[in-house]
Amino acid sequence: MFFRSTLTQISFLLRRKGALAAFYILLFMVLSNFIGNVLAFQGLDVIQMYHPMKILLLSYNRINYNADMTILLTQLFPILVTCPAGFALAKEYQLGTDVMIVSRLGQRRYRMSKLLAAFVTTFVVFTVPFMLEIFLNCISFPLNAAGDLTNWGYYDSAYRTAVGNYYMWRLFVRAPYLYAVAGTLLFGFAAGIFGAFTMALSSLIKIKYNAFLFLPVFALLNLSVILSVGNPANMVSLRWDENLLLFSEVPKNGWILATVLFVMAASSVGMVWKSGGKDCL
Amino acid sequence: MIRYRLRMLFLTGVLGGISLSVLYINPYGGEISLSEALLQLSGSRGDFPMGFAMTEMVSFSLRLLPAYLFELFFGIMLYRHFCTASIYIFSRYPKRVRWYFRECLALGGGALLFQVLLVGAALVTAALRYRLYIDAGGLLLGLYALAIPALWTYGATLAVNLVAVKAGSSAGFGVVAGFQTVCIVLFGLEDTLRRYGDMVIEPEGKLLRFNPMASLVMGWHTSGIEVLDRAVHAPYRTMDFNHSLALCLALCLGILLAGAWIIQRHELLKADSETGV
Repeated sequence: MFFRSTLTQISFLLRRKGALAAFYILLFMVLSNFIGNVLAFQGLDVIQMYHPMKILLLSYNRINYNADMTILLTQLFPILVTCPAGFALAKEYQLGTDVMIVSRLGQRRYRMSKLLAAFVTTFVVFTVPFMLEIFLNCISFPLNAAGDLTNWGYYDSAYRTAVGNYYMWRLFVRAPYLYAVAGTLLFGFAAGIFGAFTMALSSLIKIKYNAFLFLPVFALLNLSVILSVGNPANMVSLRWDENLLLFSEVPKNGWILATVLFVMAASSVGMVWKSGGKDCL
Repeated sequence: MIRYRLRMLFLTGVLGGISLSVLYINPYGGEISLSEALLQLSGSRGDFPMGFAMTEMVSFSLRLLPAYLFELFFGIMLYRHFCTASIYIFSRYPKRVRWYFRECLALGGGALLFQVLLVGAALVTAALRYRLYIDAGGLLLGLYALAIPALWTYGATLAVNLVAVKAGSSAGFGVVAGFQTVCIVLFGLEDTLRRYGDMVIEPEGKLLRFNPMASLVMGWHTSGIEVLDRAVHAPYRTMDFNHSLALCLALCLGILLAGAWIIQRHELLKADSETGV
């Protein structure tokens, strides 16, 4: 019953305006980036060509070349991540439809299924367009191209240091395409947790105006950037974009990212569990 | 409600100003002129005007964070009357457009007070940390640094309210904040054209002139007043302070009039914008 209800809610959320708008905005950015790449790199010799995964929209490596779309993505992400499922529960409160489902499922089970559905919906919306770009790049650019947008040589010590700072760098060295898929899944996973966190917060605190639900994740992500202002270049980065984008060459600590995501996921479950004990009328 | 709004206005203005000052006002030798402090508050890094690199655009967006918070908190100021008890409210105000203009005036006062608090708190914090001295260009720049962002914040907040009346508060904030973000990213278009246009296209800041967000970057402006022009030393000769002020004023006026039309024609009995029922 729990999984059936979750599946129903996922399919319902995926067809809502918020999820569709976020999906099409991301798809537009992905296709613009892909078309830009095709126009810029068509006819280039394979020796001069950059690695097809390093020119992805999600690639931090793009800041060495032309990162207009990547900047747009990083700037819109704190707003977009709330759109697919963040408002799901608040809308149902306002419409009063939650009472009907609660009477069939039970309060706690209903909210838990909603939390899972919010996570999966946001994960899907923030993964599928980027997976499509990986596929498009694989069929459009030479797979044996290996250039880096910094134009550093393979045996350059700066390049080796930069690669050593990638998350899962061992995977990148052995299978760069698999690394791109794993990195995209990690990005979608983090987005899913942000979306679910917003939904969980709305279950605990009743907010009259949905716009205020943008605030928690928006503030948190911007705080991570503010905390990094003025830090020395060799210091571990706290910025969300430098931690979640692929091929990020700045020093990072995976435990910090894992802890933040775990705390957000655990607090989301805790908030939903606590709110599940409340009287829904 | 008025007390809550004032509290949020002071919080976002003063705390925003202090944090912007700590993060972005950094003189080299322990002393800073008023004009340089104001330029650094609006995107410049040290003596250099804002560039088009990813880090600079991100830091410019962060400088706008207090304004975004203002837009979020005050983006429901007019809209909330259309959510609950709208018929009760408007049965007492049969001349709805007059009510709208009165609310807009209050919102305008709020936006101006917010900008004064933001810049004031930033400068006071800078004066406490460094030796801040007042230069002639700085005083003139200060007037523009208050007027242009205040007008922009006002127009954006009003737009959030109006989109919210039609599509709900989340859409209101999402659309307006998204538009501002796109405008910031479009700064890079200028740079892209220069780099990849085989030098055939030499925009020299012409595109920035039509980007409303560019008017918030004081370091890109020129002026006919020599002392102000020398204080700013802009890289382009196409953006003028008076032009930006006129652009923001025209945008505000456009949004204000469009708002009057929307408010007058909005059907009160049709639906609650927030819930859709």
